Amino acid sequence: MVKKSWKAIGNVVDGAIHIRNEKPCQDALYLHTGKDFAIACVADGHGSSSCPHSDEGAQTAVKLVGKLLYEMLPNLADHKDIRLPKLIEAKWKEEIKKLHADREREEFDPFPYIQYGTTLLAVAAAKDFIFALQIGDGNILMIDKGGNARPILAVEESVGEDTESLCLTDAWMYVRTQIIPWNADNGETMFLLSTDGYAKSFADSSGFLKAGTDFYKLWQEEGLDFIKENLPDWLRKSSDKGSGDDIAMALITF
Amino acid sequence: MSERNLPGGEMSSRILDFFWIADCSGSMNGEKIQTLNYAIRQTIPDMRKEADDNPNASIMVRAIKFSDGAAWHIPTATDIENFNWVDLTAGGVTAMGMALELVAGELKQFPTDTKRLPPVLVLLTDGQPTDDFKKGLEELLATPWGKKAVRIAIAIGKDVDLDVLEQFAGNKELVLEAKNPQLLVKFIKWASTVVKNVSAPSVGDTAGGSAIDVNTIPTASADDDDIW
Repeated sequence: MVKKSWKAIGNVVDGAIHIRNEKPCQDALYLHTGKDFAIACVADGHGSSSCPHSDEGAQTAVKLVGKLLYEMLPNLADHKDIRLPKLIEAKWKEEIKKLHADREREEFDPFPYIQYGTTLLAVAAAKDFIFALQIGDGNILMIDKGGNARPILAVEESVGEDTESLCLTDAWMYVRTQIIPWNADNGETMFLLSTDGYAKSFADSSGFLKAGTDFYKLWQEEGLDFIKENLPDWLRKSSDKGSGDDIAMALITF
Repeated sequence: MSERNLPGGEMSSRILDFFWIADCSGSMNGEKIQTLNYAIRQTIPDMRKEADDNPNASIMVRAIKFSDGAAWHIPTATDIENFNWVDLTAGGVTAMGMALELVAGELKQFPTDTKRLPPVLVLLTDGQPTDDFKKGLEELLATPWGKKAVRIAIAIGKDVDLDVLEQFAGNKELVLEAKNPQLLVKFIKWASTVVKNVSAPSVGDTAGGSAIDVNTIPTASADDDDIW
């Protein structure tokens, strides 16, 4: 019998609006799988005129947090306090400052982290726990062996386009985390992480939850490779028919 | 999977609600109301083009008029493709507060989900409120969407209470002083172009980003008339 393990796939597509306006994709994706673990991060740079380098902010965030979660994986389940969010904020800001200097961009005081503003969502799945983390908008779904999709780390949606961000002062205060005990006996489970452009492409929230269930069924019936092959096309069409925004999505399965 | 072979339920573009809020008091009579009617009608082709260029947002337009009271001029949210401007006539006083209460009542009905784009409210007036403006503004800003709305005020002529309009817009830069007919036409056209920024949103953030580029606000030309 083949031992089951965590797997992760994902994709990023340019939003229909960004293509029309010739703006770079602001979303980013990071995946890392290994023996008994999978890590996925997605991020959405704000892209407004006050955030001209937010695509780089998003790329920096997913790589940094992906690597950080990997390094801390053995002890991640113990991080129930504020140390990890504080560490993420400090390291992201440190890397952004370095990146800014490396690019020889204009010097500022105080440093305008808003120029690199981004959201961040991450899931680290290990042998006996799931660790989820989020700052800003976007969605994480857990889909159980019955195909039932439920949101993780969801907060009441705010109207308008505002979001919390790694660029804020004391950004750590806005970081939400959750640890879910895990056992292989839980059965085949899927996690879906997506930037807000995906959920906003549906007419209502039930349509987005149905996407979680549909991805689960596709995995069960067609396999993960089938999803991997079709995901770019599905995300592209979802953006075209819906929000027009960039979309980054990751799926973690067991 | 749906019949369209995409995971998930029905997909749809996002909705952008646009409100014209027009002063029809007696002092607007004559060239001011004629110019307002002309300019709003002129915006329709541009707004339709924006809607065509951005199929990811549906622009829905309504209009409110105020004078002795406030009433819906175009009460049904109308897709810009089917929108036609019906000329306003002037007469009466300036019940601006009641107009804002009417907008607030409509925005209260909006679902508070992130699917909807922030509404755009454009207030056009040549005078000073003759009713309880503060109450109307408080009601408007008490609604989640009223607070998030892009609020632009166009002051027509020199007798306008700019302080009131600044309170409405929440930003001095979004109070536009149309000192002559040419500027009024330019400002109304500019206000309609805001849909381009709002319908293709980039997230600002709680640190204060904005979708509106105030650098694009028109300025007076040398050959504009001096006054109304």
